[in-house]
Parts: sequence; structure tokens; C-alpha cells
Amino acid sequence: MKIAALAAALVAFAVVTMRGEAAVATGMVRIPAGAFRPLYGATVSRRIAAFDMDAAAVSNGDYLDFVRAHPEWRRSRAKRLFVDEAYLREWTGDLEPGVHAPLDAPVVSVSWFAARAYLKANARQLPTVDQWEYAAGLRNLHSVIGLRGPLSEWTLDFNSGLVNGESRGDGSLDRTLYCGAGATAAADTRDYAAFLRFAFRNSLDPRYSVSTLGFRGVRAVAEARR
Amino acid sequence: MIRALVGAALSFLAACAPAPAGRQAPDVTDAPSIFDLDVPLVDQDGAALRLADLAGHPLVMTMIYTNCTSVCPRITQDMTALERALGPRAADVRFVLVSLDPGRDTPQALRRFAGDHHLNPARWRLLAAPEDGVRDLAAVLGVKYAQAPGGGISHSALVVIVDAHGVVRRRLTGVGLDPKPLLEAIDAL
Repeated sequence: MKIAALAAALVAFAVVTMRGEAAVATGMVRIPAGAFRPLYGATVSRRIAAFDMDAAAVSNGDYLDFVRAHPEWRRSRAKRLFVDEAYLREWTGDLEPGVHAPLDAPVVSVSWFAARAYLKANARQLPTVDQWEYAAGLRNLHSVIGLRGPLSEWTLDFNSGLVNGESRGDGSLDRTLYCGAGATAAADTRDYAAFLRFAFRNSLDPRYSVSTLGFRGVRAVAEARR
Repeated sequence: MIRALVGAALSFLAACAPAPAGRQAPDVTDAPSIFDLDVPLVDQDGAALRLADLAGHPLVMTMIYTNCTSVCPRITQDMTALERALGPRAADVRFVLVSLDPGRDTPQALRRFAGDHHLNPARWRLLAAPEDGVRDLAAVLGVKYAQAPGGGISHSALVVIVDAHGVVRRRLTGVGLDPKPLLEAIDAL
């Protein structure tokens, strides 16, 4: 975590010094604007505005601070609408992450609602799918830790991949994306990891707590300038 | 196929994860109620309300947007057909359309939509929420949606039956729905 924070601070310093732009908050990395073509659903690239992204996924220690300040999100008190039975299952108690959830390790088994609540309390929000995939695809973005690692991460619009009963005649997405030659409609048929991420996001329910699913925050650059 | 692989991989990872010793099951109790979602809403008359204000009546809910010319009117027709099929029992039911388009669906636009579809104001509530609230409402109802090229919104065609306590009892996907399972779901409340 300390290394991540240091790397982020250095990046922030470089950005401010060289471009005269707004400072990046400690622990965040400025993701430059650019173009991005989603895996599926767009025939042309989309413009991604610059944004700041957490250098590392939110840790158990970070989340412990949050549940201390927000008792309604402690494991024993969180409402069933917002979490399932596996919420924070690795923790040994409401305020005890325990040996299976080291303080400096990414917090997992948190629902989409819980991740959103944490980030709202910390003046950030979840990245959109486009933001996350764009950042993950950038070369030489070594200061953002774990984006290409084994841990999956929540996205703000994880439920935007339309599969069933969709309203605009796109109910066949499942077939076109996953079945044989139909998969060639994807933006990059060689990006197997992107297929996996797409399929995984589509399988999620916002209450799910998954032991391989964490999250990190982003902040719009315009907001950072305030 | 990929889903199956992902599912299998997750199962494997879950099976491999160490079970914390002495861990007690989280004490999360009671069935999830959508009334626990605290989102500021405004209806077609401009009145401010929260979801919990709808408690006490069975709800038939969906998410639409009034500029939609394809599936949203059809979902609405399915719900009015259900209202007719319910007969006198419809008086106790509230039919709720939640907008997916906070930018354009003002109370005036919602009221116009209600008038165009001859929706009984005593039973029908057309609701708008801020963008963040729309995201939360879609999440609790199980609606998938995304901005579509040309300013439209792609979204699930979904009718949700909610009991008087806010617990989702049934979700039905599609348009041209057979009212029978919806009736059965309401009768079972």
C-alpha cells in the first residue's frame, strides 16, 4: 500500500508540474483522456475523458475504517437488500478482519451496494466498465496496481451488458457474443480475458459477495479541480 | 460456454478458499425489502416521495422512459391488461412506472405519458429519480440498462411483483406477457 501511495504521489507530482493541471489526490493516479472501443456494442471508439483512479484496490484496512464510521455497513447490521449472506465472509467479526483478511490486502466479498456506499463516503465512485477496461488496456500504466491481476473488480454499470429480455431487439446478445462465429462481432476476438470479464459481470447480482471480487474508486478530473 | 467456465472457475476458487476458523454466519435477517432503499423520488404530480411511502399495497413495477416508442408502451399495455384482469382487486394494487431517463422525464413528461395511456391516477404512480437513484432502483429491481446510440436507452423488459412489505415476489421478462402468472403472483401475496 505504501509503495502504491508513493507511486501515485509521484505521478500526481509529475502531472501537476509538467501540465499545470489539477493535483491528483494521494493514492490516486491520473488516467489520461483517450479513445476506447468496448468489447461489444460499439462499432466506433468512444472518447474517455481523463479521470483519477485509485492506485490500488480498497483494502481491508480501508474498509475497516469505513465500517467503524458507518455501523450500518457492519457485517451483522447490513440490510439484506444490499448484501447477501457471504458479505465479508473472510472477516472474523464486525470490526475484526482477522488472519484471512490482512489489513493491506484488497477487501473482497463486498456487494456492489457496499462498494458504492464506501466510495460515496470517500468522495469517489465506481469506475464505469468503459473507464475500467480503458485503464486496464493502457500500456505503461504500472502505477495502477492489480488491474490486470486475478482479482475482479466491481464497475458502476456492471448491469449494462444486456442479455435477456432487452427492449431494443438486442435480446440475442448472448448468442451473438458467445456462440461460435457470432463471437467475431466482438471488438477484439483475441482478448479472451475481456470475454471472461464481460461474462463474469453479466453473471453478477448487486447483492453478491464474491471472494475474488473487490473494487477501487475513480473521480472525475473536473471534480478534482474544485 | 464461457459462463460455464467462469462458473466452474469460481466454484473451484471458492472451494479452494480457506474457511475462516470459528467464523459465525453473518447475522443478516429478514427478507430484503425495496423500501430499505432511500432514494428521493418525484411523481407525475410533482410530489416528493420515497419508496417506503408505497408500503401497504401490492406493487406492480417496471422501469421505462417516456420517449421510448417501442417496448415501453407495450410493457405499459401489459400492466393495464393486468389491471383489467384483476377487476375489483386492482383497487388495492399500485402500478408503478419508474423512469430510466432522469434528464428528460420531468413530472410533466410523466403526466403526459400517463394521459396518453389512460392510466388511472388513483392507482398509477409514475416516478422519476436522480441518476444515481435510477442506478440503485434498477439494481434492486433487476433491470439492466445502458445508453444506446441515438439517445435511446436499452433496457430489460421486466415486470416485478412486490408485496406490501417491499419484498420482490416475482419477476417476469418480456412483452406481451400472459397475465395469468402475474395474477397468480398477486393472489399469492
